Amino acid sequence: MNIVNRFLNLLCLSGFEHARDHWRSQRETAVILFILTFWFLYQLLFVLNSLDFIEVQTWATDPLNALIIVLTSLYMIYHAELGVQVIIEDYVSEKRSQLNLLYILRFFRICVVVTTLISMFFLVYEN
Amino acid sequence: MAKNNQPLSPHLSIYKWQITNTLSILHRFSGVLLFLAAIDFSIWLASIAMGENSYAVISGLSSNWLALVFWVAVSFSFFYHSLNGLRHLAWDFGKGFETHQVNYSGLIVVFLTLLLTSSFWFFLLTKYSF
Repeated sequence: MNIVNRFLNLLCLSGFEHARDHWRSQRETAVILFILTFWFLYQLLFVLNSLDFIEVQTWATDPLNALIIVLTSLYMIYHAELGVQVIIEDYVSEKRSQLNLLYILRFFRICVVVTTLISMFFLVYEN
Repeated sequence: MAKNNQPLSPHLSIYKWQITNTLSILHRFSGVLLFLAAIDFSIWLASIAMGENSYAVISGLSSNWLALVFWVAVSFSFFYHSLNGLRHLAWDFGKGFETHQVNYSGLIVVFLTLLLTSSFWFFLLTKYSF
């Protein structure tokens, strides 16, 4: 598990992880998310003055904010996939349907990753 | 006859409910709810990128009482999952496994979750007018 692999995992460009890597990734993403989500909470409570479109757009377009927002979204869905994967593996014992559910889960994650990257790219690029 | 080798424990019909197993299953429920919130977060980002009209549509969807219930549940889940996650991290380091310790840390987590969720909404509602 080097830095390149972790980057690919974050972008959802690799397959389901080996149980050993899964365990470690789940904890790493948890610690990273603890910082990122509390940053987001701080922004919501103490930085943003309103939730009007112009205010939110200006805030999200700031390059540093945009980078942290992208990381937050990617890490959230990464950690969520790792967690829901465990739940599916625990409660769905039939192998075929277990695998199907994991693919559906992966599909949702790919949608979120693509949506986040495209949205934030155009948001920063066009403004 | 068992079809597979998956573990069946805990046997819920005869299992005694305690704070430990309640908080454990709540960790999973809150995680699933936060999964939905993470999907919603990307939809929100897309609406900002697509412009003022789509942002208004997404904001409009979030302004009825059903959405408010959802967001209160999400914020509760967020604080609970974060704090209980710290408990899990401590366990990963082999700390806090004694019965009195898990009960005590569980109570602290519940107390702090309620405190943080209510103060979060107090700050949010005094700051923004919905």
